[in-house]
Amino acid sequence: MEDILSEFMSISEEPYVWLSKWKEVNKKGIMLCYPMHLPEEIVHAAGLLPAIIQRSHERILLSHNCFQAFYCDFSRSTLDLILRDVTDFADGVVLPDTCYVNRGLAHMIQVEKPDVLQFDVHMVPMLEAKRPIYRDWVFQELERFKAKLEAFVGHEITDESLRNSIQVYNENRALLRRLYDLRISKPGLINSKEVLSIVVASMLMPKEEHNGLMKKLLPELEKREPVAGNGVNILLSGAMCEAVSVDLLDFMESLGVVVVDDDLYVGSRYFAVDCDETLPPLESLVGRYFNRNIPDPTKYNPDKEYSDYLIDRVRKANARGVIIVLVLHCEPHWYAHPKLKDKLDPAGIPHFHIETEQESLSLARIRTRLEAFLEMVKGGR
Amino acid sequence: MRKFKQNRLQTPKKIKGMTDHFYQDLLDAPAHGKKVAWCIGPVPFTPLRAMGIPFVHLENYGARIAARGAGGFLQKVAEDWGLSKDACSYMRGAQGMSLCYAQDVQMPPEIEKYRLPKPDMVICINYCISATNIAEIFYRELKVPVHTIDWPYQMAKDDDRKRFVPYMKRNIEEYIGFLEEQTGRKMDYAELSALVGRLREMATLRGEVLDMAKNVPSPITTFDAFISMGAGNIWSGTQESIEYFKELKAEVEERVKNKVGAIENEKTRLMWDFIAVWARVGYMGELFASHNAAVIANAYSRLVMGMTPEFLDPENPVESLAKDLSYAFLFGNIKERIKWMKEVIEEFSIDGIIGHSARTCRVVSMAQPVHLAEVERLTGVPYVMFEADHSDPDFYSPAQVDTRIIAFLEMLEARKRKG
Repeated sequence: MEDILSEFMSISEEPYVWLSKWKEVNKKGIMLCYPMHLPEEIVHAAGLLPAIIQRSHERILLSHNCFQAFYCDFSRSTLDLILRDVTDFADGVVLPDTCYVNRGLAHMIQVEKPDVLQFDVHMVPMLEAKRPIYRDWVFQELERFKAKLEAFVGHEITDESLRNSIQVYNENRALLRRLYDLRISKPGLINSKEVLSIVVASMLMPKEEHNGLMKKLLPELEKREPVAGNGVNILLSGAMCEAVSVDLLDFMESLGVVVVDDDLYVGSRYFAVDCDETLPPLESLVGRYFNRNIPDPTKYNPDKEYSDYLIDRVRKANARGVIIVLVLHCEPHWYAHPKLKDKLDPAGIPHFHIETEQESLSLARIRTRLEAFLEMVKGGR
Repeated sequence: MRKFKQNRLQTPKKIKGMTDHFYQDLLDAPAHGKKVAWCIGPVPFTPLRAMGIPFVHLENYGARIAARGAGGFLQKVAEDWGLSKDACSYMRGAQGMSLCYAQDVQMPPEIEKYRLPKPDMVICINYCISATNIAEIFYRELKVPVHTIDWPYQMAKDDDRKRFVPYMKRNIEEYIGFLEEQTGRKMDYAELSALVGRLREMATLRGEVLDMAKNVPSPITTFDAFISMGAGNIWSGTQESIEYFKELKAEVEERVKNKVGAIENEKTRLMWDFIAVWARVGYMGELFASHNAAVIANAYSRLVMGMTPEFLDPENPVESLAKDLSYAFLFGNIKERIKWMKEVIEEFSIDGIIGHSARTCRVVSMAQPVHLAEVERLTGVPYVMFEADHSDPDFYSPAQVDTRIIAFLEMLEARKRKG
């Protein structure tokens, strides 16, 4: 078990070193995918490795000249990785229209490093499942993306291969959910850094391999019992595109936070919804996108309110409070934020907000406030 | 003290009256039993006009309250509610207004005159993530029907535009269907055609007027163009908008004939990239004029309604509106943007570029350092960037911005002197 965890850890600590070595050994194509809504299954079915872009742990050097100070650190880091040639091992980059930063990235890459192969997919941001116009458009977009990938790899992406990819992905999602259920039933069984590394590894490595490792890891974990402690069970929310910094996770846990569940993209959001395997494959991918019961601040969703979803999740996890990580300059998250506060208060759910940017993360500034918050939660005040 | 003189055009002075008239009609509309629409983003307004639905373009409203010094109160209401001050200042102002209804926030008398009527419907075009975000807030807080229109972004692929047209056509058709459903009336397509015809005429006139800035000295500045935007935006498709631009054209033509410049003793000619600083239009006009610098070209003031007049065909109004959105490069296609800037630099004899990075308008400020540097590389024309905001005056720091701009203008002057 420790071997598997340490493998996941090493992948998540040095994602680009690992991917580059993987390519050298396996001689297969790698497609970098921008978070959060791309159906990776199509890339997988093309015989390529889809790798979700991760925030680099290295200092940003080159992209400060391209971005004004008021854009998010994740987009800056992504461009920096590309400009510093760190991602040159990749065959291309896929930029779904998650937010305006992807649009700008597409442009900046075209000007600054025009030889990078780009794919774009317009995933309509309005999740109005009842309006066929948007479903039809996303279906067409996925068909177009598939055709472009086919032209790139030089062979057809058959329905059979797509079905297989969907199965592999569904299996991975189910395994990750099993891990999360386990964490809810046994708080403190596994620390949040380890959980993060498991999810990050799943975003990077071939899903088949990840599935194999998870099948070995889970039974071992299930046998384990958590060490009894005096911590506070917390649900961690926010951080739209990027993983919460490991330093911040360690810091929170050192103060007594026990992350019992999360509402993070590099977390539960990534694997919460399955594809319907009985549908034709592209339809199934479209269905997964529109029928999700997981609202997300980057999408307009008239059918389900994000704050209601978060409250449900907190209650199901028996968390005593929520820590919301707001990535500096993440505009969609800002719009969701007031409603979260409005709804969490009357629901009696204590919440704590951390505005953060990995480049300038100051833990000392958070300490006193977080300690006071944890005391308040413990005291039931 | 430098001596300078701005020759102010007379026609743009009419805009204040036109806008006041527009907003008063809007405010009176509910008393006349009319349903009111709030529009987020450049929603095509001609279908609303054709159906007699009074509307507000919330970005125009944001510019209006900023220009009249009334934005701060409403933005603060939204900030007190919890919205970050770094969120789009247009949307903060609009959310402040919506909270006056959703949470009965009282407006002081000096702000009361900028009240908007409560919407009966909201229409949102997906041009920025803040637009769809605020649409969801309105949907939940104001509990009104919201209709969304998608607008796929041109990720600078050459085949994008053609691909978008049928999809945008379907979007416009559904938008019309929504208006019909809300009003219980059918669209008057003959009226829509007439409106599209007038939109084309207005947009063509607007282009002709703005192109006259190629003359040396330039008879018109970008600040006149900014002020004139309202006529081409909220008044789009009306005879009033045509009359406005006809009058402006005649006034500017007269100047060309008499070789009268908008800035006396014009020494340098500049391009503005991109969005206006609405709370400081007059102030900035003076700042540049005081250094005999004429800001004469920008894309923003051309790119409101009727972005591509060549595609507007009254015989096919719905397809025309679909093409107008599909072919606009306002929010996409960096290659087109760079090409356009290069051409303008040559045709308008531009000496330098002023880049306004709007802190809370990330969608239009995105990639600005990259495209400005690229344009400089291709043309040799230098640029300066400053950070301010389109609608929040708190983000304008005169000490920093003015000094930077003045230093740039002095550098350009020195360059010119050296030849």
